Amino acid sequence: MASDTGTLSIDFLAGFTIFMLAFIWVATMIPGLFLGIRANTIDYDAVAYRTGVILVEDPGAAGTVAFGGPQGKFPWELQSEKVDVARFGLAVSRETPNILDRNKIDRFFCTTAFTYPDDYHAKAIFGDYPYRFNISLKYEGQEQVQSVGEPIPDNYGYIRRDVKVKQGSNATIDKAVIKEFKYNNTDTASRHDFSIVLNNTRLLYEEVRDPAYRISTPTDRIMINITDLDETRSNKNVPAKSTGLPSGYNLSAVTFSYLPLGQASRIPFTPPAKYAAFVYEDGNATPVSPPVDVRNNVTLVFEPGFFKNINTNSQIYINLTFGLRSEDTFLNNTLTSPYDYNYTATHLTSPSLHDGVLEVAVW
Amino acid sequence: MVNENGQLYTIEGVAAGLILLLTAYFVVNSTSIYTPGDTHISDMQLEVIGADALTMMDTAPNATGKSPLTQIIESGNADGFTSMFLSTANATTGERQDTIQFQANLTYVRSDDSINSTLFARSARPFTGTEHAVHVSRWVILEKNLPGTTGDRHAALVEVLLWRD
Repeated sequence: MASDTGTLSIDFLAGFTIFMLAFIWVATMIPGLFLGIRANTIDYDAVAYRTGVILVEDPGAAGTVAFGGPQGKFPWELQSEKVDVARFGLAVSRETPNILDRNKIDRFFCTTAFTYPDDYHAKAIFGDYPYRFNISLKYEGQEQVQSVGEPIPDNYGYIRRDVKVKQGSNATIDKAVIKEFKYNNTDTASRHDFSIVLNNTRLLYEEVRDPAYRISTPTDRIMINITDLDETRSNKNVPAKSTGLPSGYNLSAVTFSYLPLGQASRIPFTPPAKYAAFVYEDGNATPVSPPVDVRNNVTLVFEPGFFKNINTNSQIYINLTFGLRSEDTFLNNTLTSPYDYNYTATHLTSPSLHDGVLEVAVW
Repeated sequence: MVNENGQLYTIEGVAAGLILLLTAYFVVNSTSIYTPGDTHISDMQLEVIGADALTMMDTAPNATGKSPLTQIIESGNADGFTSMFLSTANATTGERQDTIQFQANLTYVRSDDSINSTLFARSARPFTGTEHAVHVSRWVILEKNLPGTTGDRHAALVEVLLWRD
């Protein structure tokens, strides 16, 4: 039979001490529970989501307080200094989420203009923690992926957004247009001028008001192809190359002017110097500035920002002067009316939307 | 006088203490802490993709045209919906496509105020109910009569359940 006569008076003390030591040991393990939990690892997905929203649903912002006040007149993608870019955002406008602007995309992914990770962190990712990230965009049906950032590791926060990318508009003035509008009916003209008008009020505020579809002269790429110059000419008195005179039809000058709303006379306009080369002669891949020797085709490409200094309620006139003998019947609308670049113009392709997908990975 | 009669009590006490501590050790060690952010991230990502896909399908190619989604619903083109939704929702910038499956319902009010909800389209793998699916929806305005409706224009709700295979 058991009795408790073997119990020592210090048994309780010893047992309690062992228990306390063990309890302290367990208690010290508790902070270790939270070791794997840090704010920045929790919010990788949240930061990726936020960055996705900023890029896809916001048009971005320009202007800094420190450098002479906000440059709010122009959108961020037209700022030449990166310090004037306050926040990236690829949407065409605030009203058109998921519709992205091609020029903003190209500028955003230009790693010579902006440096990874500092500029992108300060203008798109935000936050104090030095996140690393990879942002990529792919157009549907194309192999090429535009991306910025580092290779993606195993563990990262992620978001994917389906988008559409707005492409610029273009017009082709070919023999059909030339004949339809009698652009070569110039028997009494003294020189060969061809003019094109872009009526900002009509383009921006009348037929198409949705920023996703409208032709926005300050921010869109505008392309004008003039073809069949040779075919639509009647008297083929082209000076030969051997004479030392300019060969071809010599597009001697392209001049610009604008007519502000309610005013009677046009004001000459000189585009910013960075856009000086805008003429592609006969399908060449490199643009040049006039005068240009053209044979049969000429393409004028006005990159986004070309007309940014012109008020959006003005009409823009583009005048092409060809150095050709006046007795030749040639592309000339001095006796008719300028070619009106608008949504219903013949052979004009309005801005179109192209499918794409944007991915943001943050770690 | 000291003898060894109470030894068993002491050993029992130590053993019980050890079991208690061991239990506490296992409980504390195996607990992982869930933060609110962890739980619904994949749902949120799937929801964003689904909502984006429907938005993009409901975006017209030009200023005057109808959106592909409206055209598909008006013409009852279930195959068109399936291929367009899957290609939009599964597109990635990488080599591998995502593996999203879906089931789409079309709901509208008939002229007699009753609600008609029918399965409109679904992906190859049918919805069994055990998938961890999320729900996205979009209202479209149709300029065509659906069965049981009269008049010119109708609002219809496109509801999509989507999940990863």
